[in-house]
Order: sequence, then structure tokens, then C-alpha cells
Amino acid sequence: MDEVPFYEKPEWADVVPIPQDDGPNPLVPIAYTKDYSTTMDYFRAICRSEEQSERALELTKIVIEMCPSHYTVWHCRQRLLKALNKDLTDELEWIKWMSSENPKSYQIWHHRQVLVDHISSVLLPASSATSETASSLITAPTIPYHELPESQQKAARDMVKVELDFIATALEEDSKNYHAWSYRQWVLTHFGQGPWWEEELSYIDGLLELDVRNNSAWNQRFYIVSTGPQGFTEEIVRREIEILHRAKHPLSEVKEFCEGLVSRTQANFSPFLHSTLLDIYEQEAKEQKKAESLSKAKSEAALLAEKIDPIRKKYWNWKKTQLNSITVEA
Amino acid sequence: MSNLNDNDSSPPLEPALPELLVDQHVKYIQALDTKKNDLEYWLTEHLRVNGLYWGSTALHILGHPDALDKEQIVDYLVKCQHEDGGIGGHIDHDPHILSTLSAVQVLITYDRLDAINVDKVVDYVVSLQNDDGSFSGDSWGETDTRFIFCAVMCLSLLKRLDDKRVDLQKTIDYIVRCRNFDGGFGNSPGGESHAAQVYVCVGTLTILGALHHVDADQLGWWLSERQLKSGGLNGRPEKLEDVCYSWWVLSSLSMLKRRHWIDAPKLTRFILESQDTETGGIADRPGNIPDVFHTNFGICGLSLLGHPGLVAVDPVYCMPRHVIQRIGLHSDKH
Repeated sequence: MDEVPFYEKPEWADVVPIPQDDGPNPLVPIAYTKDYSTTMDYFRAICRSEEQSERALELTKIVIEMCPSHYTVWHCRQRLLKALNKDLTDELEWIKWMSSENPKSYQIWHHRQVLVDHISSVLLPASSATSETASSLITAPTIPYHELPESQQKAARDMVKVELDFIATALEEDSKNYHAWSYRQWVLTHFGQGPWWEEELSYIDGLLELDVRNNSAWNQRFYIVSTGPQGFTEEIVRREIEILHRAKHPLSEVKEFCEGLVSRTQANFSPFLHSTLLDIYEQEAKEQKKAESLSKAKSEAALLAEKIDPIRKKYWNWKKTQLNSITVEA
Repeated sequence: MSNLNDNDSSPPLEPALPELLVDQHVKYIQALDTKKNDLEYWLTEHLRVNGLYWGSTALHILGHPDALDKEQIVDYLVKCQHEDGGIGGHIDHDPHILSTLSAVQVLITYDRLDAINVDKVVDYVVSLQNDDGSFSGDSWGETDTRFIFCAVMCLSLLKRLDDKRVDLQKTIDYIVRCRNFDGGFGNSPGGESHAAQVYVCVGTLTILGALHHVDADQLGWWLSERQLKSGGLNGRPEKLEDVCYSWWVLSSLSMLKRRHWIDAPKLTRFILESQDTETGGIADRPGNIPDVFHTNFGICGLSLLGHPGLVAVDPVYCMPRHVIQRIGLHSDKH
């Protein structure tokens, strides 16, 4: 941060700040609050005079970084970007940083959509007709990808890739970020029926591999399958049912892996590792009625209670008593 | 209480249900506008009009309609109306449908709709409809089913649903396109089901008399699955419970006449345990810092649950039921 606030610099000397008009209460002079309210006083002045300048643009950035959900500032910034004919690629970079700081701001995601919409409308022709192959879900005008010359198709593919990669970064932080998923659907649809629809399926496969209960990824899968270029054919329905069967992994699948981990000193103290083993042995004891599995389950519970996770000692001891109700063959 | 049986088979006694701290909540809301030395006050500047709606609604439901200065509120809201008829989130902020609806709700609650230019509000709302039947949030175009509900509720409260410039059949068609395979609704066609988006879509269909587009059994089940062991409700599967979903989920269940599908005593306990016993106000979940948004939706949730001592709330408009009756909108449908 600058040592001198912008409003104390000579290039701002000609602006008369407009203080907030809501009552006579003077501000308690806490440094940050004063800084914020002074900044807002200048912002009001710039808004009222409708100044179109570099410093006005810079001021919107300062205000946004202080308070990213202040929607009026975003609109002001969009007007200025257009009036000053700014390079929007730089703006996208800044948005990338802003959204990593504020992943749940409606305004930041909308701003990105406005920019990408604008950039694409300059580079690519828009189609006002609804695509014939798309399902009835899509009614907004989209880009007729297949009718474009190869150079424009490439431009579209490049833009889509940048956007999808950007969104994927946000989803790595929070795989259920509603804004990120909404914007992702907009990007996929806006640029028409390009190859990204097919690629999206393998992206979703990866997310479901990590977390089979990721309801956002399942929703996206439904969206792709039901609105994608191929449509909801019988063959696709059969493929999807097949995937659902594969998605159910039995717990026993990770037994060997977990037992292997125990032998490594770095992992041996993990409560997650040992509680997973407890679950595995418990399930084995219930399903196969093996006395050995039950006794392994009990020693995991004892280990967790006494050594590995004593803060939840009462829980693990309770869990151990629950194990007593399992009947096994002698 | 007398003679507790010393019987081993009796279930363990639950701790006593916390009391609803009416007086503390009233003081908490009254003090909100005096916290100008808090950073939070300035960072929420764009939500000031929404904040007034949350605060004044909570006070009305708590049975303290006079706890804020009515004339001061009316004067302030008048200053937030723009030339195009829309109302901004604060003085000098651009108009937006979210703050326009909040202002209309507050003015109707205080019976002071005469203070603003209603025809112009209608002009503004009408101007936000898109060709596909949806509504944008402001003149800059962000579209979301939330904004549709705000627009439709606004026109309904102002008795202007018959305005010839809007096509509400298209709006119904758009909402139907937002319906998902699980019976729920998202923010746009194809968007994931989310309890708050369900509320706005079901609310829109209720106001427009088109609830037959909803499979009430399927959606009712999805909504009741939102209740977790703590008694609280979440907004989507595998997410944490949060007091504000007491409103989004419970109001939707009310409109679908399936409020009894969830465990009301457990939800009541969850909301009451989310109260801040030191400062007043209700947080998103027990132990967190309260705010006026969760305070309002917690109290309105308790009202829908029939908690004693509270004024009845309308499940569609989220305003006192007697106000909705006064303006002649209430029906016994829910």
C-alpha cells in the first residue's frame, strides 16, 4: 500500500470531495474508517462530475479493493473501461486476483462475464437465433461456433480455455462455489457448440473421482448431458447409468492402502487414517462375521481413545462399546 | 417439576430450551445504526436499505413495531429513490431491484407508500424484464431467479401485476425452465438446486397462481432432506446448516403445505441456540457473531414455526401477516 493516500497527492488537489449526507454525527477517527470514508467522498465527487479519466479509473479500483460488493462502483468502472478504451486483458488478470480474494462476490463474477461478453462480441459474430441442436434450456443468443472460419474458431477455443481454467482454479478452492458453476455454464453455452462440451465430461469425471458426493459436479454433469450437442439419446442414458454403478466404491477398496500407510511413521498418528481403518474393520466384522476383524476394530478404537485422538476419548470409548453388539463367529 | 422417575430406560433429558430473548434482540437492532465507528458499518453501506427491511421486519414480528423512528426511515427511503423510479441501496447508490423491493416492503409495513412515487417504481420494475421473461437486477443486466421474485413481489405488493407492459406468462415459463431433476430450482436454467433459489421460484409461482408446475411431493422431500442432525437446515446437500435457511426452506415448505415434514422442535432449538445471549441478535449457527440478516430470518422462521409470543409472518412476502391482510393480498392458501 502507498504510504501517502491518493487524496493527499497533488493530482487530486482540484477535486472537492462530497461528504456523505446522512446526518450530523461526526466520524470517530479510526484510521482505516477515516481512510475509507474519505475515499468514498472522492468517489462521490467523481461520480457526480462524470469524470472520464485514468485517475477516476484508478479510484474505482481503490474503492473496489476496499469493498468489492459495492455494486455502483463496478458499474462506474465498466463505463470508464469502455470510455477510455482500455485493454480488457489486463482487467481479466486483475479480476483473477480479486476473485481469489473474494470468491463469493456476486459483483466480481458478473464483472468478468460482462468483460468476456464484450471481448467476444468484438472478436466473434453473435447469433441472435437459438441454436437448433441445443435443448430448450438454452434461449440466450449464442455464438454459432460451427459456422465460423477456423481462425475465429481458434479464438473461441482459446477464450473458452482461459475462462474454464480460471473457473477450475476457483473450484479447486471450493468445489461447490455457486457463482463459479453458474459462470461456467454461461461460458460453455455462450460460445456455442464447440469441442469444450465433450471435454467438460472428463473434467467432471475428475471432480467426481475426488468426491463422489459433489452435488455441484453431478448437477453440471446433468447440464452437459441434457443440453450438450449430442442430446439425450438412449445410448447416452445407458452410458450415464453405467457411470453411476462405477461411482459406488466399497470401503474395503482402500484397506490395503490404509494398512500400508500405518507402517509409515509420518502417517501413523493420523486420526483420519485410524478412524477409516476402524470403519473398514467394523464393516468387515458385520458382513463377514469374522472375530479377527472385530478385534482389530476394537483395538483401533482403543488406540484412538488413548493415544491418537484422546480429545474425543469419550466418543471412541462409546464407539468401542457399540462394537460389542456385533455378533461374529467364534 | 415433581418426582422424576429414576428409571434406567428413560431417555436422557435434553437441556432446557433457551428462551427467546425479545428485549435483547430489540436493543440489538435499535443499536445497529449507531455503530458508525465500526468498519462493518461502512462495508455494508450498499446494504443499508436491505438492512432496514431486515431490522424493521424482525421488530414487527417481535411485537415492537415502534422501536425505530418511522418518520426518519420514511425520509431516508424517499432520498434513495432515483429519477427512473428505482431505489438504491443507500443515498447516492445506483437503483437495484433488491433495494427497491426492500424499500417497498418497509413502506407498506409502516403504511407510508404515499411517501414515494409508486408509478415510477412500477416503471422501473417493468423496465427490467428481459425478452425471455426473466428480470435483471439493475440496468446492467445481471440476471438471476432472485431478481424475478423481487420484481414479481414488488408488482404484487403495488397491485400492478396487470401492467400491460410485462409478460408474466413468459416469466412462469422461464421459472419452469429453472426446475431440475431433483424437483428443486436454480438461479438460471441448468443451475444447481439451492434452497434460497427454491424459495424465490416457488414464491414467484405462488404469487402468479402457477404452483401446479411444482411437484410438491418431490420438492417437499428434497427440502425436508435439508434438515441435519443438529435440527438446523442447509441450502444444498453436504453443506453446513445455517439459520437463514430456516426461512428459505420453511417458507417453501409452507407454500407447498408440507411444513410438517421436518422436525419443528429441533429446528426451534437450533434457532434459539444461535442467539447471542450477551449482545442480542441471532447468528448463522450457535457460537458465531450475530448480524441483522440472520436475526430477521431466525425470528421469521420461529414465527412460521408458531413460536409463542411472536406476530404471524406471511410465508410468501416475509412481512407481518396482518400487513398483507391489510392490503388485501392474504389468502389462506398456505
